[in-house]
Amino acid sequence: MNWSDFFAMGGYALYVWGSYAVAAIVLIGNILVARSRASRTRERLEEFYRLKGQSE
Amino acid sequence: MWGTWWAWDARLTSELILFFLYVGIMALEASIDDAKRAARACAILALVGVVNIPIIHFSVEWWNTLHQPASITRAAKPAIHPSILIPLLTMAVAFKLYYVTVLLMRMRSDILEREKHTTWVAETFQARAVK
Repeated sequence: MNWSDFFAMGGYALYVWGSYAVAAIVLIGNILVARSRASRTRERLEEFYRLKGQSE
Repeated sequence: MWGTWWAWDARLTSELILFFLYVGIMALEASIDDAKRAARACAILALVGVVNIPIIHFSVEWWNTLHQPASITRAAKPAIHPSILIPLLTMAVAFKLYYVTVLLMRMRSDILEREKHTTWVAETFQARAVK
């Protein structure tokens, strides 16, 4: 079996590699969304306590 | 190979209901402004949705439609050849670990946001601000 046979996936290349592509996008996207949310939360809370410290 | 991407098969249909439950929870969460009330409503809907889990699991035994009967979770030896079973279980565990990782990452943001009026969050952030 050579590489082009492997990539052809017995005629189901679009389904197999399409599934891999969608899975990769979702897996990476989920991590990126969670990370950006964590840093936004940190920024917002730092601002919240800075303003709170000023008013006290 | 089943030879079709969709049929009104018991497993596929019960999974479709699960998908609608997920969409319903997301819509419910988005439609209530008060975060705490939204979370409570979603928690109740999630409890209702749990009813669907055993239905999905036993769907392949109760209704004899296209999907094959259980091939891993059965009393006898799994019906899958080890050359497929071992990678399948490895990746299933990997996906669960990934899910727990993302869940904890998001939970951390949520807890900090919700508990911002408590002293422990305030102390955490003020200690960091001093440094």
